[in-house]
Amino acid sequence: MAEWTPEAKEYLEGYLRQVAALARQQGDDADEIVAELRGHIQREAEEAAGVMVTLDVLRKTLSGIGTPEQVTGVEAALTPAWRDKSRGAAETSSAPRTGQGATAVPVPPQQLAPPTVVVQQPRARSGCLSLALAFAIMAVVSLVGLAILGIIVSIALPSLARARAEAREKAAVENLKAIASAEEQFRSAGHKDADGDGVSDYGTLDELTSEGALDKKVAEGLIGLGYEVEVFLIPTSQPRGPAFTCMATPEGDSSSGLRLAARGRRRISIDQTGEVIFPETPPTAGRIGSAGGT
Amino acid sequence: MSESSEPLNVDNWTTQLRKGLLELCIVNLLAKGEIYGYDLVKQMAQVKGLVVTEGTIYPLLSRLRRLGLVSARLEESPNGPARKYYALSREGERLRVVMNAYWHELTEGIAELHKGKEASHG
Repeated sequence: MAEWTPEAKEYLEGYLRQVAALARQQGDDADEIVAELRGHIQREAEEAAGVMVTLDVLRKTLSGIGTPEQVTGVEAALTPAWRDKSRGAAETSSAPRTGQGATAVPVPPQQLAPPTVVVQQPRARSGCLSLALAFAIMAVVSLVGLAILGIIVSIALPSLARARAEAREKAAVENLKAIASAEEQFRSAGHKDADGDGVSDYGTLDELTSEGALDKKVAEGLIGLGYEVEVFLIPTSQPRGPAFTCMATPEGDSSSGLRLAARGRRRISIDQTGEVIFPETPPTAGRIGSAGGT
Repeated sequence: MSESSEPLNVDNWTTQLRKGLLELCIVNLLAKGEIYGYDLVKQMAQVKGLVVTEGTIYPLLSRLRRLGLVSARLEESPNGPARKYYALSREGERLRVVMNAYWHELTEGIAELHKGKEASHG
């Protein structure tokens, strides 16, 4: 079954509408006539077209069917034979009847097209429909594009934020390891014995930098990464000897572990063993005693 | 005595003559048996001298059906929409006989007229 172009469809409907109107005027069964005529025209046009019934193919088909006036008998449908024979071959070939061979009746071209009102109305409507269709397609494409963009952004933005948070954490860990190394250096050099038990202790960040064990840029680097840095010191009177914990806390979020997790940033700490840990909550004052401070 | 100034319109005369013969051709075609509407139209279009636009047949068939001279039935088609088949009713067959009788009488009369004319000239 062949496809029909929108123009051909509109043209056929306009033609059949006029046949129906004229048939009713004649007192005929318009629905029956139109149904039969439609089937006839569709078959003729599709056989002539093969794949696609265009307006041109339909017009040629209708030239064999007759104008609405001819079909309904309002106008003479039978062309006088004597006049047909007297016509030149050129005129006959200008308006051929499809599939009629030697008995073909040339229908004057001006009789082929349905009246202006019927023809032009579908064309005008076709233009409006095409424009409306174009706008509709553009709107749908835009919406689909926006939806795709939204999906991409919703996927990409969290991934990007997570990647940046991970990069900051990695840099912060390196800085904490540098601080831990400075603490060991400070203690080995014996710069401090806070409780006077003859065993060297760890120092605060100020003590580390003032004694040259730590480059001040390391602590500042942590601050630049958005962390607050604290060192908690444990006196040597503890059974396990002197200890320290250096804690890097994301700025402004020292009280809510939940909020930190939501932002993809965590507290990071390191102690005298060199182990880096990500505690959910900061150590309490009770746990670290009174020896802490930056 | 008034005279018409308009000459005889031969176009109208031949049109009216053949228009009346369409029904005669249709009933004779249907007398051979039930026929699909499309095929009937195609066969009608092939009748020599009757030169007719195909679309005119359907209103005629519709009128004949409404007059009870022709019956129609739909049959499903695997190739598209249902097809309408037409057949001559008993009333249509009676009319066909009358129409043919009149047609033969008329053509014979005209032929006799021509013969007489030729004889008078000969």
